[in-house]
Amino acid sequence: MSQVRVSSLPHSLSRPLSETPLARERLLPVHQALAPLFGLASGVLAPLALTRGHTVSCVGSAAMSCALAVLVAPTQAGSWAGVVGLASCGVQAAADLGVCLERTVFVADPTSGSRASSQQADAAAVLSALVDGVDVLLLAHHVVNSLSPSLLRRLQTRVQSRGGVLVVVNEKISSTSSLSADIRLTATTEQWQGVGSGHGHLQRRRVLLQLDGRRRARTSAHSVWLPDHRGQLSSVETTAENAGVVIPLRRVG
Amino acid sequence: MATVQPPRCAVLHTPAWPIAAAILHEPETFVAAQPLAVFHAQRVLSCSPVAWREGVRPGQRRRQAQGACPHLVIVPYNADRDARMYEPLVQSIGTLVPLIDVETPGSLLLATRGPSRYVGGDDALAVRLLTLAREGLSHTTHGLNVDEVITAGGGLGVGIADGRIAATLASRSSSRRGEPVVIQPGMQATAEFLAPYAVKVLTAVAGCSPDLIDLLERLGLRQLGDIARLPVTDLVGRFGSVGETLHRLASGTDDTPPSTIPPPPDLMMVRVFDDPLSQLDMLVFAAKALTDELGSYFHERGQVCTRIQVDAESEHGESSQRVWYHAEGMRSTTLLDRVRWQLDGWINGNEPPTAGVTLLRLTPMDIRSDAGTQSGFWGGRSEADDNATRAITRVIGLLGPQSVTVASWRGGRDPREVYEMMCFADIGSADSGGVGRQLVLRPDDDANATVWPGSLPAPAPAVVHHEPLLIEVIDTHGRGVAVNGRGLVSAAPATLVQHGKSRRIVAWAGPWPVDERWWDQRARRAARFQLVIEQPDGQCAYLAEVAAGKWWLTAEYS
Repeated sequence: MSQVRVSSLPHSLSRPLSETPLARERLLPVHQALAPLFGLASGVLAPLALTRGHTVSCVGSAAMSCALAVLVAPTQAGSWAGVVGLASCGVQAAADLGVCLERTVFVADPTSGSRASSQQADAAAVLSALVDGVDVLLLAHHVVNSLSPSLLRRLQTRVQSRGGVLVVVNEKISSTSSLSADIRLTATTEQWQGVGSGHGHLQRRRVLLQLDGRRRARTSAHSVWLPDHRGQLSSVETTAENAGVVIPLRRVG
Repeated sequence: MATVQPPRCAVLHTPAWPIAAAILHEPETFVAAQPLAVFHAQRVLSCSPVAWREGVRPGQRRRQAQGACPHLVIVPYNADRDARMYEPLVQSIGTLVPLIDVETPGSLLLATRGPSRYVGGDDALAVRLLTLAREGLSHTTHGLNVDEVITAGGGLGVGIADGRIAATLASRSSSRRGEPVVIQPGMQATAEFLAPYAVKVLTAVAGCSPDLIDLLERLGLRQLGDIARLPVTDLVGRFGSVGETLHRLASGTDDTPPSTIPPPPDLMMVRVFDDPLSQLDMLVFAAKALTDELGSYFHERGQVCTRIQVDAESEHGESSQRVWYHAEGMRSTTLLDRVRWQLDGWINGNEPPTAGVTLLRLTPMDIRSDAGTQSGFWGGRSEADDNATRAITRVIGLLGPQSVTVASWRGGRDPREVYEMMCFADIGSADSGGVGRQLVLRPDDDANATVWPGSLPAPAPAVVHHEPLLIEVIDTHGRGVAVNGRGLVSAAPATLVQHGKSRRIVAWAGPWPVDERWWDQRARRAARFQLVIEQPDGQCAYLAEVAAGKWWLTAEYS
């Protein structure tokens, strides 16, 4: 007759379960039209693809729309977002894309204060306070550039430990940044549709999104309507009949 | 269940104190004869009797209030001002009674057992309290008529009864009648006094939720007497622990449940300053460490503090002692507010300390278990909301209230105007249920309601310049493009010039004229265009505007 001794259990079994975070706790959702970029199947409503603690850099001529599109799924899922130093952010465009405005706060640029001496310290305190409270932090490129590299590294460490995501908007592809991004989203405008010479109105824009990053073997690319004729984000269907779709013009003025 | 005889207390109440405080603080700006109203979070917080007669009611939206009374004068909300202006009155009462509970600026409570015996009865005490309050106020009225100020504040009422609820209701009825209301001692008399009151009063005096009151009314329990007549067990069976509280409130026993946890005798936060502090900022900063520590102490134990005594002593031995009461329980921020109000009133008041402050002491007096903030399951407040509100409050502290904004839908033709940026600090704090609820975030679901006449169809521009950029738009012959009075373009736009750089326009649409507010100073006549520019790295689209012969870049479809 053998006796099972509790102390002989393998170490891995006796460890408390809570130590291992679940996959959905480590990831934030993205918009379903962005799923193919992250190598996920399309059709899932809010695919979990954005790793908490990462820094996303949005570049290209459609960078602002692209950054707002990243905010959509997390804010709809209950996360808060902070938008820092982007006074010119189009709030209506954000609302049309689906960003949940009741969980989005707009913070003035902390680096452009009148107190020149304490600027860096102030900016650091403001950004670290925000990182503690919001899941997604959208930063203007000029805010990032005015911080010292050591401060940026500290900020990124804090984002990693807190489990947020940093999104940096940078419309100029060529300009360098001292921030090392985990994911780089390049949004290039392919074509605007709906405007002729003196008639029509802007209806939708075809944007080529390219995703590359430090831990990614190859660049993935995907074409989307950003925005489409309702101001939202949607995938460009490859089917032939899409080319013939006529969107009715709407009255202006 | 053993019922405890509630202590007899007196309540001195001014219904619209923020109005009176504003008149006392800025007598040149606000006059008692005007209809005045204080707004907080876009709703009327309190209004003067003149405004009341015009149809303004607390809880109305700004538009409704201005609709009822177009010449309504709006008084900005300022809790610090209200507390500071109330301080002289409290000090004056303090010459008779040592320990006073200030519930909110405008309402204070004191135990009557000693003072009543001293001045010779409850009626005499009531008259004495009114005289003292008047004297206290007259110190701050720089030549103003005290009576006018009191009338604008909705009258000064004194109520004496058994228990906090009965005394508060008595003082409210007293401020309407203009004479003290004294309810005879004893459970029977108290219950008889309370019975005819509508259950609605519980929201104001005991902080019951409007949903609960609505439910009670639908159940046919319209008066406090209806609730008091029911057996406690039935109420507990239907409402849970709230039922027991309701019964206690309605039958006039004190609102402090018999099960309050007595604070441990050594629970006291003291900070002694080796260097006496005379500046308010520094004192409040020092107090913040104390309140934070106290707040986390209660938080760890799942408790909140409902009554706290705050003492401050100066180097010369002068002291300020006050008891603060908050029915919903105080956390670190609410605690700090109370400490700041008290110190502000003392240091900037009539009898400021002659030396720096050397000691600050916080003594919790009533503690109860924290039952009020269950995180929401579907909707409601979540942990993320609380975390974010805390973080944002900290950022507001660092950058100032103007720097943190949230967007609220307003509607308009221009992309700049559709959403209004409102200060986060004005909309709601951690205590008032958070952001979002009081905002108009989107128009109604009805799709037609979203179409503002003259607005541009979707999609909206992702970058909006609040300060438009000056550009030039020229045709193929190099002449500037203009729009005439009938809304016709002189020639097709061909090139866009910005900062001396020319770019080719490949497509354009417009002009869409705007002729706004031609009836007043803000009149604006312009014509809008959408321009698509060809660039080496792809196309980009702009929203431009031509007004008075000049072209402006107002938004980018980035």
